Amino acid sequence: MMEVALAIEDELSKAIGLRLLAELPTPVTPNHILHKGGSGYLKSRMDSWREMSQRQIVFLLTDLDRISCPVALRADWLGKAPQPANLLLRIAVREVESWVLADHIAMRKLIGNKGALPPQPDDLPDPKQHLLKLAKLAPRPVRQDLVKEAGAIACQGIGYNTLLSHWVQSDWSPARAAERSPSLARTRQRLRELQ
Amino acid sequence: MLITHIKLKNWRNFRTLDVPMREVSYLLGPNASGKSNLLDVFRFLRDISKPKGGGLQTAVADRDGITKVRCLHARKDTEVLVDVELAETADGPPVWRYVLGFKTEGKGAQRIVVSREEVWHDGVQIVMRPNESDKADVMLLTQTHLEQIQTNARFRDLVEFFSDTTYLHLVPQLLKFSGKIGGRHLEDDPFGQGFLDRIAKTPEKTRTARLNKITEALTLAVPQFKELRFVKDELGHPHLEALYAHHRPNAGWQSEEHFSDGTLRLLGLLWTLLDGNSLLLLEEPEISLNDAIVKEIPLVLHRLQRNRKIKRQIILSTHSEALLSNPGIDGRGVIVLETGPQGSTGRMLTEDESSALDAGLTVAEVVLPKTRPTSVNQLGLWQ
Repeated sequence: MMEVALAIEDELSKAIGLRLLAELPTPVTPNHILHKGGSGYLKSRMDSWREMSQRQIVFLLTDLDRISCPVALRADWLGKAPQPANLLLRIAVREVESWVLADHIAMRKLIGNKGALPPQPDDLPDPKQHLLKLAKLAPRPVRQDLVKEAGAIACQGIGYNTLLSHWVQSDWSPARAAERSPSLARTRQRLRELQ
Repeated sequence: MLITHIKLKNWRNFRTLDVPMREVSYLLGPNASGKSNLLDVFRFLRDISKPKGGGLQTAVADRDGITKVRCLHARKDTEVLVDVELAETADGPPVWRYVLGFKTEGKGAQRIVVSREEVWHDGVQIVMRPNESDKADVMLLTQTHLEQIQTNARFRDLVEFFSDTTYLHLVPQLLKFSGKIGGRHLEDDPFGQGFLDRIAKTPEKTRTARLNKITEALTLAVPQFKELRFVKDELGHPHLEALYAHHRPNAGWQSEEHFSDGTLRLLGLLWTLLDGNSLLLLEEPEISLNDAIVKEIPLVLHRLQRNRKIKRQIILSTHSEALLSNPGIDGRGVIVLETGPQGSTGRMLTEDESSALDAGLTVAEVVLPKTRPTSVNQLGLWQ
């Protein structure tokens, strides 16, 4: 298989991207991990990704966020030009947090037994907020990492990225999560087709 | 206990400053905007309060006299004023307030005299100077009540808080080449020249426990790093030694002069974090460290706070995008220093900036770019 470059939005997507590459029949370690925070960077580098994909596989992982559907995002990012075969633009519906929420067994291990887990996390309008709401019910050390202190001016706890990335690496199972998340299942499928 | 508010007048490059502080406060600003000068206020209070060789006169003299301490922009009003409030929690009511004003006598030997000293406890003023005795004997005003055990009995907690303050800006070269440089150690060792002695003086059990903990961190952060130990050479000088996995099996232990700058900086930072409960001042902890390590600093600090009975306040200055890239950094702890024709000023985040952080952006994205001088992009054209 050709070399793979992983381009992502943030720390958590990075952990997930790496996990998805590592679970392939022939595990892959990317030769580049590209991120600068935010989807703006990913989109602004579209020409570079295209060019890189002449020589190697570029696995681009982004969140759908508020955009109506993956088709719209794809059209917006790729334009009318044909998508190069080695450029894999995968979109988490609506955020990678829904993929996180989709592995119920690993989630329980992380946050304990309180709170109902979403049966179809791809349908959640704001998976991250949902995850944060659940994290409020988690045992204290986990809660303190994931959730911001009351009154704090921040969008998440200070250990959110680090703790979740670690957990994705150690506990989260793409196979289990894919059973509840069609957008993840499609991504896994496409990655397999590349090998 | 922690400092929850600070007000300054005519302190170094601040004509005035009035900002709240939290368990972890981040000082941001361009070069020469006063980050170190702001940290120096707390070192100044420490220098006045410390039991050995402390006092107002020494603290001012150590800073090359009042003309260096006082803001250049102070014209009519030449009093230097420091006003701090302390509370049990960042949002709690002030338990202590300490106000110190001083200036030169204006005649004769031009001694430094206390123009105002106040101590407040739970909202009640317990010291108010100048008082009758001061008026009767002006000599008394050359000393603060903070520095005298006869006068500080009622606010010893406050004195101890100030005098225990730790400042760290470990300069690896000073440690590595200490033998060759010879040089004298500065009082309180701000630059880590005596770092090894500090480790040596720690009781063995505590030292071993700390070094083991630090080893865990270094193994994660420094490639191939395997083991750390404390030894004394034939002359009895203390050393740290490390073993790396990639060396030949008999390559042996390397002592600290062969450590990388980053390893030493990280070691110094971690040791200091484990050492004591006092106010900790960190000057640009990111120096020499890889961004991936720097990025984890806020979480390390936060976790450390959380797992302790006595919370330790940390005030750090930084320029680092990596350090500020964590979206979990509480915007309430960010202090932005700005320079202008009238010296430096400091501010909290604006409403716009706060809502950007609430929306998921980071301090690195929203605030840090504003600390870059507008003309700096032309620096590259310099020849």
